[in-house]
Amino acid sequence: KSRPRLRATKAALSILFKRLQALQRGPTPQLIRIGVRNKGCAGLSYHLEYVGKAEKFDEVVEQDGVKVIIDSKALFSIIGSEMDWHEDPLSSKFAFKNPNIKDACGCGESFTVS
Amino acid sequence: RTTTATQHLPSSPTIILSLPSTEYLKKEEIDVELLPPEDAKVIIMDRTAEQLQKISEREKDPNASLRVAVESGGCHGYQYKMELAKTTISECQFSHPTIKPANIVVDAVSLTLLNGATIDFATELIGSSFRISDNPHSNGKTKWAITTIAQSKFQ
Repeated sequence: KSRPRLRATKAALSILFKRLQALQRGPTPQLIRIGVRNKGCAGLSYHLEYVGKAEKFDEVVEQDGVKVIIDSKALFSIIGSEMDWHEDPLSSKFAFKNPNIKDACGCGESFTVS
Repeated sequence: RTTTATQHLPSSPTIILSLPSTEYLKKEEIDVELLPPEDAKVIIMDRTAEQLQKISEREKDPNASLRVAVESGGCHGYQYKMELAKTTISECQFSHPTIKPANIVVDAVSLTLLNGATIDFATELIGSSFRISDNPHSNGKTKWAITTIAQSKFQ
């Protein structure tokens, strides 16, 4: 049975791919781990970090050869999300389309899940 | 993070290119106490200036500036609005002392709530964006939300 998991758009994948490629050239290969932090006015916000390996219970998502890790503690709040890359004249960042969001802060920096 | 932030602080103070005239404010009926030039201050970090320089090059316009405004809204009453703009004489224009072109424009009303703040360009794994940090008018408890409305066209 297929279950909801994190999917990445083409734009997000290409950025992830570039970042991971750069990281893998380094002395210690690293991975990108996606998690949430208690931050912002709506309570939660996304957090990305580099890690050496997945922790126990972390979900490893692989799509088109790009591998990212989902923090086990964040799994409930981001499962089924779509990861995208947004660029505008002033900023560029990963954006998430998250079906679990109940409420979000006006600026889109933080959210609440049901 | 604090140490890296201080490394990006400019060596000399921000230059004020222009401030709106009292005649203009009177004509437009903008009810605001204009700050004297020696008190008007917005700190543009080196990395912010570098990014502004890049934007200016990309837009092929030395007058391309970052407009920062404070509006009512957001979770705590006020929110920042940032957009790409052409400098106008009706606003306060700031420039980085050494890295050019790197301009920031703030309207007179917003400046009363933004004076003394630092404009940062933060680069994180999740992405990079302009941010306002250390705004003396914002107290720690009610951290202002940042809303960035970027426009590809000048206005």
